[in-house]
Amino acid sequence: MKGKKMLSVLLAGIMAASMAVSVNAADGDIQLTDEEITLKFWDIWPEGQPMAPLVQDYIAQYEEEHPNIHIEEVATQEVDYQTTKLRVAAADSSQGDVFFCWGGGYAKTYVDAGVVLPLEEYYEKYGINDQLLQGATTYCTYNDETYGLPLKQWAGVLFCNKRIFDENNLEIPTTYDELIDCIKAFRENGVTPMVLGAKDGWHIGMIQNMLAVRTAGADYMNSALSGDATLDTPEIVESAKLLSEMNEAGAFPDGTLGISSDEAEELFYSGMVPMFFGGSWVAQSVDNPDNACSQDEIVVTTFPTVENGKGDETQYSGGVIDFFMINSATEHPDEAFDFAYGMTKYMSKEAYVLGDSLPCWKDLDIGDAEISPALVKVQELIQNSTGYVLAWDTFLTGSAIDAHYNLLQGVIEGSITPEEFATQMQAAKEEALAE
Amino acid sequence: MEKALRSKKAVCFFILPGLILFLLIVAVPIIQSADYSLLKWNGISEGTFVGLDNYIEMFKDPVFLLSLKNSLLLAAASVLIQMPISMLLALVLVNGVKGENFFRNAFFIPVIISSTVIANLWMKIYHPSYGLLNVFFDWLGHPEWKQNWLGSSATVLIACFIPMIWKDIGYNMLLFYSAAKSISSDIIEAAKIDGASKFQISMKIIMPIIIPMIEAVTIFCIVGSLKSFDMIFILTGGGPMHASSVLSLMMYSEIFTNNHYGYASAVAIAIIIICLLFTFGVQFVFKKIMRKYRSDS
Repeated sequence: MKGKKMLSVLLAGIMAASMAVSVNAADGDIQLTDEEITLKFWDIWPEGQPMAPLVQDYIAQYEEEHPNIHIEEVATQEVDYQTTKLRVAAADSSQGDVFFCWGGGYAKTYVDAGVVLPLEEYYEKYGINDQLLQGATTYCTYNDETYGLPLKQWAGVLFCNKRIFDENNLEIPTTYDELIDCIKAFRENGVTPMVLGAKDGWHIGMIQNMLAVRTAGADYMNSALSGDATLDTPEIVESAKLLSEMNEAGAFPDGTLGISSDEAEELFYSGMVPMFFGGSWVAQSVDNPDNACSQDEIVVTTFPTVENGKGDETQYSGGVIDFFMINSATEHPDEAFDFAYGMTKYMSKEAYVLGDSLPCWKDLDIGDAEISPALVKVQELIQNSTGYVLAWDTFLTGSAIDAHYNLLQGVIEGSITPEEFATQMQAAKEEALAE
Repeated sequence: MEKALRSKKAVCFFILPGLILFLLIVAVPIIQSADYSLLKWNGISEGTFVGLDNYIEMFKDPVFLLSLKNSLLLAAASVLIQMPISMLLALVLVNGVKGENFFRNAFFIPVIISSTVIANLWMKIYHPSYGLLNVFFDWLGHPEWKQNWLGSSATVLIACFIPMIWKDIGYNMLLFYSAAKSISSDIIEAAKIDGASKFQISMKIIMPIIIPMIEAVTIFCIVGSLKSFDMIFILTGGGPMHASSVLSLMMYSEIFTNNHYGYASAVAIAIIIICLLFTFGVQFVFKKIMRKYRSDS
């Protein structure tokens, strides 16, 4: 009996000691293999994307530090990756050892199918929770288990071209009523007021989702989208009604349903359209010196508030939705995680410097690198934020996403009433959840 | 050689490689699809067997019915509009015009250009604000004719069909042209001596002789329309609100946006069955026509 007790004390001692060693591993020297191995890394930044060189830089750096580990990068264009490539590969777990994945409803299918490695153990070993901003892992957590390393966060803000506002003697709107007045005034002067390429459903969603944050409030939207509360409420009807009102006032380019998001955004970058409600990633394009709209002309502000709405100006659409995940079928989970961890922090920092996104890691050492001025404006703006709501199409799953896009196009076309929008969205959400 | 062909073993041996390839890349996937079509399955997790539910659901699904209608309309348009134009051009060329080679090549150019390029080209033509078409109406002094061609449910279908039909005219024309060219010149000359006009030669000699080619082109047109995907995918993605959706596009979005792998497999099987039915139907009709011609002459 005594022997057994001794043994358990001894075991506990060994465990404590090994944990102490593991904590040190936070600095990166977890026991990695000495064998020659190859890790496959799947991302969405093929040659020509601003992020592509960053990936290659880090791979080179990592391979130099770990000469026995080779990284094989497979980069696929984002839409193909999202709709087909990852889906097909995940069916037999043949995606990369480390792969890029969106959280929320998108990854849920993969997590449920067991093709993603749970990372709780590594989070503890590397002490990651202390390094992340609060809420960064919300949308890669399923059944209380964390499945991803968060890459970046985004926030939806209104980009305004001050020059066009000045030319038309108009002020940048802060309330919805002012926005409508502004839209009408711009139209009278022959200026298209706002960017929208409604051929891409998500582009309409950006605006309607934001309106819903204003009318229903962030807390309600989050619980409604995750399934607890209904989407068929007067506030959500109101959000579609306001969208339709903006459309009727002439807010969007003529024939917007036939224009893609890229074409519409180009109107803003070329300095022809004064307002663009977009994600923080827009900052990167605003900074591009090839564009006709100059940096000094751009004012970044919050989306106008809606009278009697439940969400105030400190609530935003956005959040953390981009993650790196580990294949549960990988033969080298330790090495895969170590690489993914390093890559995530590196990308998070560099993407911030580049103006692509806001970081979700604390204390990133950016040295004296110059941050994109437009992104700095976004960051200043969201410092007082009190709530975020992800875009609906990342929250929802499967057929509900398609339904969302079609209903939004219907509202713009005028063939779907705001009431039908809310009722049918709720029905689509329930149907998708039941699948 | 003849001896070798008479041996059944040798025939089997020579057919084998082709047969194996066919079975592996055509027959097996079709059988697999048929199997998947009986499942309720998202393509990743375990599927559950639901029997014929997917097929029953299909005929209740308004998007499927709309896509089926659009596909059939496209097939009808290609047989009734595209083929006559191709035939007309082929007959004009065969009867000899100045610059026959130039025109033959010019009409064939759209076939060589990739569909992606053509779709992008037409997207610019249809663009609501700076598109060629709307600018042209402005220039004519009829701004009220301007439309949001690809963005409105009312016009999107016809706007998609025009480039799709235009693209393949040259291909069909070339098939007709080469079939007509291969007719022995003796026959044509004999007709000329008998005093037949060019129109009579075309209608009474060339057309009847190339009926087998007309049959083949009809099948190409119908099956090609039922399978069409690329142009519409780029032009509209099936939108707005599924107004321009066709069968293969609908199948694609069921798999890749809606995660309905089993249901989409059922749609795939439906497409195969519809294509086969049309092929047999066309063959049957043409057999009748051929028989009629033979008994007439």
